[in-house]
Amino acid sequence: MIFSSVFFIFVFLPIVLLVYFLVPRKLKNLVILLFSLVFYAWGEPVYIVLMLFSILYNYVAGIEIDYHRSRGMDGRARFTFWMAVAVNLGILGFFKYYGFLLENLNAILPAEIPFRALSLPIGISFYTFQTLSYVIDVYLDKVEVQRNIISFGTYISMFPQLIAGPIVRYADVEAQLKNRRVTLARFGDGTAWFLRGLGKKVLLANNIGMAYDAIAALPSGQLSVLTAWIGCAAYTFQIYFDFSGYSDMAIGLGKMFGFEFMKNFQYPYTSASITEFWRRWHISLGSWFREYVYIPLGGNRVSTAKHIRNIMVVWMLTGLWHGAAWNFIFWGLYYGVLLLIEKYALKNILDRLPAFVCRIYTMFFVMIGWVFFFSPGMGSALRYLGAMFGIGGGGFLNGTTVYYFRNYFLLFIVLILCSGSYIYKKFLQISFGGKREHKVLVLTAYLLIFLLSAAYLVNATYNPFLYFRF
Amino acid sequence: MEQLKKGIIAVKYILLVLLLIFIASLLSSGSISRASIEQVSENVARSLEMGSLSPADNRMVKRLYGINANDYEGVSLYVSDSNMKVEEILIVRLRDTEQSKDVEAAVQKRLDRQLESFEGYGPEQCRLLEDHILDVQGNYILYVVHKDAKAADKAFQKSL
Repeated sequence: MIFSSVFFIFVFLPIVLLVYFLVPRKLKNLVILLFSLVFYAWGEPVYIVLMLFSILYNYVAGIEIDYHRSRGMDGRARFTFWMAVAVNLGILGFFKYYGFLLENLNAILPAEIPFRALSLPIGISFYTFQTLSYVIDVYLDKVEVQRNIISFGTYISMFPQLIAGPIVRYADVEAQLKNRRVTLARFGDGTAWFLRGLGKKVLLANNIGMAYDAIAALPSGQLSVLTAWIGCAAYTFQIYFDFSGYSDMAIGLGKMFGFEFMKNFQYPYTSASITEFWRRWHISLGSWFREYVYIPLGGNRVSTAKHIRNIMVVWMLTGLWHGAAWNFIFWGLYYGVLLLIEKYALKNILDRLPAFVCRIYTMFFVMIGWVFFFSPGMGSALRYLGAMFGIGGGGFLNGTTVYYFRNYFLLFIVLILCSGSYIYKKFLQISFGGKREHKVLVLTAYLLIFLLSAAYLVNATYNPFLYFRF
Repeated sequence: MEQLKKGIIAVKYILLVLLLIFIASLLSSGSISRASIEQVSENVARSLEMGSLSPADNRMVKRLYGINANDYEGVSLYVSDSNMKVEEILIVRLRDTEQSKDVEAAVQKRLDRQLESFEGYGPEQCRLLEDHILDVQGNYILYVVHKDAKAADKAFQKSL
């Protein structure tokens, strides 16, 4: 089940909200847990077993670590901790990377190892990182062990952020699991976040996604330089509005149930450097890697050689987290190299350049990066890049270019405007300016987003969600 | 307290054993095929008389079925070169078995449209359409409208 579906909006969500607000306070987490399991089982009837295993195993492991540590048995606590890390990563590794590993082994070994690749359990990369954050923080004594299995299950399976994040660290919601309040203002704020996210996903991402899909399906001979750039720009906007829209919906749903999740995107396409881009893109994943991989490795308080190693390890893992394929690993390493170049060579130059030049530089490399991301393999990524730089035989522009430019020009303008903060800030000024007619205007805008999105969802068959793959 | 500790450890290992049983059952269920879509398509194409059927590109997939070939591991479509013929073969290799619902819905839509188009004046075509085969096998789907549909399905299942 996805948030941007008719069933979720008109059936599932109203029922959960109704039950949640009808039951007494002590049953609220149980309601979220049960409905979250239904939500997950809807799409993954088989892999719900894995989700239940994750909840039970990590719950028990947390108690055991705490038991040993409180009695000074550090060696046993360490063993339990590393075993829990190995089990969590083992499950992720098996379901996500086993097929990839054996495919590559078969390519280099003289004999073929027979294997069956399994389908990827939805959201496994997200919830595994959540369970790891809990186990690590309990071991490091940063958080109290959770003895209430309902609360722990609620944290792992909470449907608002279960499938596509934000990756919520246990430390951030520990207090909220015990005590939280939903006020009318917070519920309203949550609804506004949800509607903005829905609009971003359904009205913007889905529409520009159609342009990308059509261009990606063109035979390479028909792909002119400009068409390839239009296709790449279309994907650039699609992935941003798709993923950030979904994150906004998750944050909004969280607020409706009294939770505060971290912001996952902060206008990444306005960044003036790659370093800044990664501070604004998928923030919860970046901070997870910083907290649990980069800093334990020594961060930047080490020799230059070790710092380079740390950056490359983190970015290789970031690439691998996104998918079991060489193009994702390359995509991660590509960013590692760019960040190192910025830190050690370009920093002073970028500081002196006008902001708009820095933004063009950033977007250029981000768009090149997306080619590796959207391509099914390295070969097709290089072919697409070839087309973008005139090595492909499709010419500089042709009739197809004119067709896509004419049909999507206005949408591109809207997408560019919505990628920056100006429109939203103006919208907030109007919302909270105090004038009665402004409030009516804002309310109408939200109602319009809802009606248009609902109409689109009822009619359209095209409603993919890109981050389902991870 | 010692009792509690033993209980906790026992639960943990029982859970691990259950996980291994679960994984073993998934691996032995054999629903996922590693066969390449090129190979499966070739075998299916060889099993019947192709006549006017020829391979179509991804745009045609989008036009006829409304699905994006890029969303799947692979899509192979053969269509007839004449509007008056309904023979068609669609083979889809899914990324995730969950996608089968979308493909099945798209096929049903295409079938309904075709039946509507030929209803009343193309009894031959309608009969072929009604005798279509839609076969979902784990991560592979076959849709075939052809007088030799059964042979195609047999070849399809054998290739997986």
